[in-house]
Order: sequence, then structure tokens, then C-alpha cells
Amino acid sequence: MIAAFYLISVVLIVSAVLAVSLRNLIYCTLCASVVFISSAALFFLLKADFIGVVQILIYVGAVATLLLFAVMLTKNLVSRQYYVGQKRKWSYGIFTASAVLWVLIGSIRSQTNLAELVTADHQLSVVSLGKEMLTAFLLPFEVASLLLTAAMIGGIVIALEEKKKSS
Amino acid sequence: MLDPRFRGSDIKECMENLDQIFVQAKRTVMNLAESVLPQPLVLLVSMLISIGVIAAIGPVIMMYLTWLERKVVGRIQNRIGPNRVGKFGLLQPIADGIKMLTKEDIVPEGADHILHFLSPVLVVVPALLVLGLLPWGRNMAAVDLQVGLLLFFAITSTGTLSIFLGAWGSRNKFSLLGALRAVAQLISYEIPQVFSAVVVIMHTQTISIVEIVNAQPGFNWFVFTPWGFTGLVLFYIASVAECNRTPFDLPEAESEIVAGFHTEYSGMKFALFYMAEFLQVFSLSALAAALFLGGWQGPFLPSWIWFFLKTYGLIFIMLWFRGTFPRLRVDQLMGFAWKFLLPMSMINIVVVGIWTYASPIVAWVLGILIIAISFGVLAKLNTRYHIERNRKFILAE
Repeated sequence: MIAAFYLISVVLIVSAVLAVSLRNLIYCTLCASVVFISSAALFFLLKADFIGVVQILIYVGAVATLLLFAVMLTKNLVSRQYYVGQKRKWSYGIFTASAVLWVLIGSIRSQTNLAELVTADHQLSVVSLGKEMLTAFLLPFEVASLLLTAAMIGGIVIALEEKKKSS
Repeated sequence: MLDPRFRGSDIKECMENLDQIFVQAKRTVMNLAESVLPQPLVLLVSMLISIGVIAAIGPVIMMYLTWLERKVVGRIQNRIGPNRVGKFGLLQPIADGIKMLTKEDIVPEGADHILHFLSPVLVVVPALLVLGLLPWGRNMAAVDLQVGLLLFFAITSTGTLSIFLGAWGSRNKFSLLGALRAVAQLISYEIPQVFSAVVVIMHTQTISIVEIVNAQPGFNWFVFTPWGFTGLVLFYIASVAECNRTPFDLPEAESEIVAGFHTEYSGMKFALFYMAEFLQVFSLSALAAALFLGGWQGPFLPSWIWFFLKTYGLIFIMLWFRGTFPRLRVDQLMGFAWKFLLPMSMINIVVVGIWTYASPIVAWVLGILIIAISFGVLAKLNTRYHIERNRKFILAE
């Protein structure tokens, strides 16, 4: 169990570093999907089957494919070398990283019985997850779906405008 | 003389034994292992047996599906099909396998070697993995996960990525055209496919494939309800598209873009792409059988025979499609998924909601009415041009 955790973590971290440092954008996408799969494996290890499966379904099945499309639509991909983070604005990076770290540490510290939670042998049932989602966490759920709908409509509007200009 | 009652129970017992023959076989091996090995290794042996059987049965299924396809399509086209190697050409797949193995592996000069190599490997992995989730018979699923059905869709959805990587790595315009078509098609048809499976999840209130099969005992298959029948048809059509098979074989349309995304592959790599495709045909047919046709449920015969009968019945229909329908155009393909299959599967979800809460008679009448009316309306809305009623056909002389 512990060994598996470390193995998966090493794979995850190495591929995450590769994903932002490789020069070939297609390889970057491939490494990103390895990151997604290994984080799904971490969820499986924590017995959160449903979340792991959804991780694969959404990130590998949809997001990685979307990334590939974005890469494919990049101009002159083959002839020119693209450098990820060419301008290297360290300040932004450090700010984002420390903000994420702060949120993570905060949420971990707020859990008093963390060790107990991780080692406890409980199965996250899909039914209870669904019930919580539609009762206790209804507002965040609705806000998220509203956001997604707005994003989708925005995408359609952008596509429509381009079509009008070209014709 | 034997007492007839005794003989009846004898046959029943024999059938029950036959039903569990593979489970018994595994239990025997496990007992043997338990007496020799320590506890952690026994678990490993149990896993290895399941993995070994699935890894071995995958290629066998694929090999004989190629044979079946050539035979069936041959008969449809008034030919005999393979008949030289072995009786009825039964050894043909083995000969083909040897041919594939000994062929030269050609890699194009401009190709990205890593991606070109990785793609056929990655494409087989999900196709083999999902076999482990299928209920092959009573007590015969390799893993019974709480979220089995969802994992099935998650694993099959990763296939898109490897197809695209292979085509990109080949550095060939036909490959890339095929991959573009493949990605667009697979993403579009995934949505109605999952939506049409949702009705079963709603009715059985579980995502475990084994539990879904258990919810259809005897002849209580979901296909005998209005929403089940509609769901099966929608799921099956979307599955045919997911497997890139005729009439949805645009990604590898051989008359337009050579062989689509696997144009630049030869030898064993090409065979791996074919293996993935045929395994997907098998696993999606098996899943359709498990969701709507009761999986291994059925009277008299052993459960695994029912499973294979239903699965191969559905596969036969796929081969029949191939021998019958011409290929769709790209706009027709997309329109069919987004303008017909998707609304139809959403309406089907409403029908199963009514089915759950209304009394049986009301549910039947309302269900059939809603499905028939919406089918008619959608078909009418999707018809762009009308064919004349009394067209006269004049033969060229």
C-alpha cells in the first residue's frame, strides 16, 4: 500500500515535470495524460473508486483530447520550436504555487483526524455521494453547472462570430 | 428403467455443474495453491489466473472474429469465404497471425518513432482491460466493481487518444484526416452511448455491471420494456460508431483516405489496431447484452453459453450491417449523433422516469406513446429532402 503510493507519486511527479519542461507539445500532452491517470490511481488507492473513474473519464477521455486539438491548431508546429513559458515570469509562478500550497495546507490542517481518515477502511458509495451532491452541496453544484453552461454558450457565440466574418 | 423425476433432477444438477465449471476449475487450482503457498502469494495466484485467462481469451476472440467476419460477409456477397486452410478455413486466422508476425515493420522516414511505436500498444490496452469488467457468466466476472459500468466507459474513452497519437506520429495526411474524423466521431457518439446506458442505471439504481445483470432474472430482460428496447437500439447504433465499423467507418474509409489513421502501419502493429477494433466489437456487444438482454441470464442452458449466444448474436448483426449499408457522409454522421440519437436518448430517460413512478399500464401506454411520437417528430425534423413517392426507374439498356 505505502510502496504503491510512493511508486505512483514518483511517476506522477516525474511526468508532471516532463509535461511542463519538454519541447515537443504532443509529448507534453502525453505526459499530462500520464499525470491524470496516475492521480486516478491515487484515488483508487484511497478507495475512492468513483472519483478515480471520473478522473479518467473526464481528464484522459476529454481534456487530453481537447489539448491535442489545441496543439494541432497551433500554427507551424513542426517547423518552429515552441518553448513552454518562454518569457519565464517567475513571480507569477511563485505566487500561484504558494497560493495553491496555502489552500492545501489550510485544508489539511483543518482536518483533525487525518491519519484516521486515510487509514480507515471505508467505501465511498456512489449513492451517498449523489445524495450529498443534490442536498447539502446543491448550491456549489448548481453554480458549477451554471458556469459550464455559460462557458458553452460563450464558445458557441465565439464560433458563430468567426463564421459571420469569413462569409 | 430410470424414474423420469430422477432423470429430470439429474439433468438439472448436471447443468448446474456445467454452469459453474469454470468457477469450479479456478476453485480447484486455488485450493491447490492454498495448500502449498503462503497467504499473500495465494492472492497473487488468484489474480494471475484471472489476468491470464483474460489475456489469453482476448487474442483468441479477435482471431476467430476475423474468421467469422470473412465468412459472414462472404456469404452475404454470395462467396464462400476462407476455405483452404483447415476445415471451413478454421486455421486461416492462425495463418494470418504468422503472416503478420513475419512481415516487415515499416516506419515512415518523417515519423515520430516514439509515438508511432506507442500508439498500437496503447490502443490494445483499454480493449483488453474492459474484458475484465464483463460478467462472462454466473459468478464469472473477473472484478465486480461498484462503479464497473462507469469504468468501462472511462477506459474505452481513452482509446481516442492513442488513435490520434498514432496518426500524428505517422506524419501522413491520410492518417491525420482519418484521426480527425475518428476523434470527432468517437467524442460525438460517446455521448448518446452513455446517455442510453443511463436508463439502466436509473432503473436498477446501481452502476455495477454484475448487479445490473442480477436485476434481470429469467426472462425479465430490459429489452422487453419500451425504454429498454429504445435504449438497446440507441446504445447498439452508438456502439457500432464507437467501433469505427460500417456504416460509420469514416476514420478508416478505404475508398477515400487509404486506411485512415493506420495507413502507415504494417505487420504486427497493424494487427494490433485490428485486434483493438475487434475486441471493442466484442466487449461493446457483450456490454449491450449485459445491460439490455440480461447478460448471462436465461433458462436451461449454462450461463456462459447464454452470454456468448447473446454477444455473438449482436456481433452477427454488426457484420450484417457491414454487408448491407453504405458508408455515411460526414455531415450525416454528425447530424445523426447530435440531432437524432442524443435527443432520442434524453427522451428515453424521461420515459424511464415515468416507468419508475407510474402504474404498469399507464407506464406502458405512456412509454410507447412518447417514444413513438418523438421518434416520428425527430425523423420528420431530420428529413431534409423528400423522395418522390412513385419514382419510375428506367434500366439502362
